[in-house]
Amino acid sequence: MLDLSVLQVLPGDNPLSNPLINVALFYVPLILFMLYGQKFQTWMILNEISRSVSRLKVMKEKSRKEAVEYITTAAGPSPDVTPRIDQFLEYFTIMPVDIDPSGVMKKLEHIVVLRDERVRAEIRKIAPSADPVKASTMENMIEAATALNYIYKIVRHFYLLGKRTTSIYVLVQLQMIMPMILQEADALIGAIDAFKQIQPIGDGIGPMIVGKSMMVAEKKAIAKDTVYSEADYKGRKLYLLKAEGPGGNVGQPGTAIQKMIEEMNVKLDMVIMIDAALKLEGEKTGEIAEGIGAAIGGIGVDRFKIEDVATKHSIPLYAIVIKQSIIDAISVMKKEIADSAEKVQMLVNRIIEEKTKEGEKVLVVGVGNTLGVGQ
Amino acid sequence: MGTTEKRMKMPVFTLEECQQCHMKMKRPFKVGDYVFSAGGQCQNCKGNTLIAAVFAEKVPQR
Repeated sequence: MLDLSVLQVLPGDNPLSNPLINVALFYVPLILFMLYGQKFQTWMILNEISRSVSRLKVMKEKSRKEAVEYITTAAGPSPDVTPRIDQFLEYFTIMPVDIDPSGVMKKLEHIVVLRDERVRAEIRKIAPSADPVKASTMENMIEAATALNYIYKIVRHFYLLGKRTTSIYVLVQLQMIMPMILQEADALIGAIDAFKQIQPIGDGIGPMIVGKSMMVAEKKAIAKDTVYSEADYKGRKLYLLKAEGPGGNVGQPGTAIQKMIEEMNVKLDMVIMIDAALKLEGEKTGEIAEGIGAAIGGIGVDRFKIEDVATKHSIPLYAIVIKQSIIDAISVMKKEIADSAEKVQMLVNRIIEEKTKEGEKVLVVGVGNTLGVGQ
Repeated sequence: MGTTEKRMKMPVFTLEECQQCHMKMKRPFKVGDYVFSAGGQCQNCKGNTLIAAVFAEKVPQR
């Protein structure tokens, strides 16, 4: 049995009845927490964020190392490419001013196209002998490494700012969004493995479904990295469009659809777009949903062009999406996603049969990154 | 353990489909495989196969 007699400095049976011990046990911690509670909480949050920042640093270093290794191998015997890649990781794009939104889409497209061309030109300089598939892989790897570098720098900035100012408000905000940031960083790291081995990613389900129908048909280039084929289905004429694979391209579906309708004068009666869509928590990976509108992500240039031309020519836009998380979308395609291809194809056929008549023309677009998917 | 670490352990498979008998064969992914490229020979009818899919699949733990 514990001997509490040592605590009995003053007379009394119960040590808690001793006023000094009472003060020490209850009031001192209470006062300490009142005075230093926020500092203690700040210290706890700083520790937690510090661990996350270290994790992001490891991810950033890994992505840089992987990119350097891949490019060095693909570039062959050439001068050290590391300084050039390091310089490229700091590359930035200034988005156009949108205070006056008139004409912002054209400016946005101009900037985005310019950025893509600049990246490609740089890769051509580093590895002039690389084939188009390897060049697109390098492009994707550099993009992932740049994104991770940017995420790390922004998080570190707010961490150091919070630490320097000991502002709990800055730190709490960072702590709250940290799980989402880490999830995105995890997804980018997963993507690097897929890029390196040219394996299809979850986002490639749209091009995979359309690519299957294009296999036997002649492939014609219609826009940058974008191809189309013609096929027949139950008396309807089908136009099948996707980015050119198996390199990691997304193509320019907006420009391609605009060109098909306005320059090639194809009188389309329907457009069906198939794309990957982010699932909500609780939804199953590979679930299929059908809807209306232009199913295409990105910065908005392609969606704007498609909506614009479809409205001008009164073409109905049908959308089919395959649900997946952000990690699934940019990591190696999961079996559940690949398995949805047949069901989506049946859905496309059903929409064509129900909504169009024989002799009409339908465009089916497979939207997404076509890495590891041919046609 | 992070999500990526769990995912990295998911092996990647290539699914080949015979163009003649439509038999499907699953094998581990090899570098150079891509969807809709020519595969090998069918184990059933010796016909040509085509890579129908490349996917990551969770292997049940023993």
